[in-house]
Amino acid sequence: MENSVKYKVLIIDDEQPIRRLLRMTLEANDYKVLEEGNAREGLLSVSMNKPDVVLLDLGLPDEDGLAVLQKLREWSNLPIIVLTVRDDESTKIAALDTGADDYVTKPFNTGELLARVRVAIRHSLRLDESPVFISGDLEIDLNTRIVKVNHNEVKLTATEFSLLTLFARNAGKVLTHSFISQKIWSNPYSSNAQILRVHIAQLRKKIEKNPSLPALLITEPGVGYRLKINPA
Amino acid sequence: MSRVHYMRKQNTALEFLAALATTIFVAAVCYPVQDSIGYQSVGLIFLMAISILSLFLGRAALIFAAILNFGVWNFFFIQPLYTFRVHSLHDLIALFTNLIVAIAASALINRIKKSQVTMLKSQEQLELVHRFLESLNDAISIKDVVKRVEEGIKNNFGADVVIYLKQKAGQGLDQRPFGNQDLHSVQLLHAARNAFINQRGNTAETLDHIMIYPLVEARIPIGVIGIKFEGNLLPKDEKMIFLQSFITLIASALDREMNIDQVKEKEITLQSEKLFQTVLNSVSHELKTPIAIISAAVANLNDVKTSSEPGLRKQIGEELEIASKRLNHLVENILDMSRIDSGLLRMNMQVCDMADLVGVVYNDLKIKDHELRIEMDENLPFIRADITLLKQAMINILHNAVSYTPEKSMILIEVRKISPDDIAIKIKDEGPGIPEQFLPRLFEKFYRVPGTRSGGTGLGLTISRAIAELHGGTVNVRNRPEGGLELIITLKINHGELS
Repeated sequence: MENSVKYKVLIIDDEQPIRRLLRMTLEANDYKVLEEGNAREGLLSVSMNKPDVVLLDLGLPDEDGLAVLQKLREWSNLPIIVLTVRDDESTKIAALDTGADDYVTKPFNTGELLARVRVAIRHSLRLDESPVFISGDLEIDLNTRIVKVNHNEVKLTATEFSLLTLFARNAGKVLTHSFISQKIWSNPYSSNAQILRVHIAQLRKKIEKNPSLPALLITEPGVGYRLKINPA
Repeated sequence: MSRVHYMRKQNTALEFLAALATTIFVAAVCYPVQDSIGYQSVGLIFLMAISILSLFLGRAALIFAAILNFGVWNFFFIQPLYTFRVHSLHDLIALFTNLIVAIAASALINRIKKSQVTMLKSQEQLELVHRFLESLNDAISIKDVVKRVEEGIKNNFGADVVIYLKQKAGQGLDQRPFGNQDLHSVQLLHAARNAFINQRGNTAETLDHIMIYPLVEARIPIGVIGIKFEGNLLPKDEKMIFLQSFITLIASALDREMNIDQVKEKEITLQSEKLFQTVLNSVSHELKTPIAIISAAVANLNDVKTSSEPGLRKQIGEELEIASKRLNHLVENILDMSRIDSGLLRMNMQVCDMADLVGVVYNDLKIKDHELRIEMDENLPFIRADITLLKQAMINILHNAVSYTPEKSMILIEVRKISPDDIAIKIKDEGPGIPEQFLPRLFEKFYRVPGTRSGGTGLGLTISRAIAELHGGTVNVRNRPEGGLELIITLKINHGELS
């Protein structure tokens, strides 16, 4: 990372070993790390130190993580990444709906965690406002509305294009089913669930090398979809 | 009993009528001839009529007949006629003799009748006791016995019943009441405990009109029964004996069920202890292996000789990664199993694209050492499912396929619509398969095929099947004719309404 300014990451987690490990990982990648062990001091630290990203554990001793999230969102737009234990979709969705930018499941892969942090900072600082989005073989020009895969133009329907644009604008972030439905059809309800899946399947056929094993448009089971920035 | 009683009541009116008719008849026949036979003979004829009547009538009707005869004889036949006055002592004695004979005869006859009725009753009672015994013999549990006891006592004695049984462990009486809970009270329990400890044979104590009897089988007290009669009327001696025979039967039936319970409990304890031992052995081994690897790897990292060499360090890192993944997989399996077992699993049913499911599984598993092929029917319908659970079900199966087949061999995932209602996910491998005799037990909790190498708790397939069943589906297994194992998850397309 070519961080001329060191970005500040605040870790709010009651487990000290986790905080130590996160500090190690983040400092090795040129972040400045702040840490707090409970909700009260965490909230205080956010207002005092103005971090660039918050890593918030949902299982805090003094207050429910979702409540902390809600309090933060009342006055701050800073990116918040939630740390959850195990695959608990309803908690993830609740966190995302409350305003979390993303989540990482414990036990986490540090590479994945760093990627999430990078994406969150980039979105909050609007570092990628460029009209051209490139990820792997995929190239989207938001101005000319041209989508290329492996330098060959692909024809998309209007809905498919809206979907892809939505993903590109939020590249790297998980988007919940209801968020997508809200944005595309102005209707967050599940009546669109089936239609959404049909469109995603169609879109994958057009942009993925192997549509049955997608590398770009990733399913987050039970939660939503994510457009990968740099597919392996 | 009630039937006998009823019959007699109906007859009483008839009996009085018969007594009246007989008296009138005798009087009418004797009146014209009284001068020739003498009034004393008429008295004898009346006496004869009473004797004959005593064979047929009850006591009341007979006494009525005697008094009537006495009156009629006095009025129509004894001087002075047409008055109830008697002049001679002689006549007075005759009159009273007549009356006393009538009463004595009726008493005698009645005693005979009564013993007949008692016989009839005891026969009837015997039958009732027998029926009660049969009902108790059919009982299948303590609760069932109590239910039948309540019925039997209600029907035969019009009484309510509460039963306390002896503690399973320990000497005293358990405080849990069986039967009619309304009768239960702390005082009653206290009295029952006294009766239980003192065990006063057949004598009953009463409290609030509840009769308390110890239940004794083979001289060992097994509990106490409390009986509350309707209107708080204690039954008479004869009925009490009848009740005694019921209580004896109740005691032996309860004793029988308590013994069966005890045997069953012992069996269950034994089984669960065995299962616990198996689990402990397999889980502790599985938990300890990755921990051992992690601590060894860490020791290596702390040792300058090994950690300074980049090649070795990379190897150590890989070992650490594998060990922590294995540990995580294990813990998740145990958590999944307990969530499923506890019934607290909340399903997050959503529209699910099979292609999506397979893609997610593929991304999660990252199969490296095997060749993975995926074949899916075109235009598979969406199903309604919890994709995270289905993912777990598939991963567990694939995990086995990867673990127990040679490297570089192929694993094939096939998704097919096999009928208008069903989708099948088939996972086929090219490994050695599993001996047929072990297949039926493959999905049992903690079951591991004998002779397989370590690594696994025997929970994976149990979880997979439980998940499929939560979706109204099944998991089946077979050895492929061409070699290798095939696991088939069958899912209902229309399980739950599609939104």
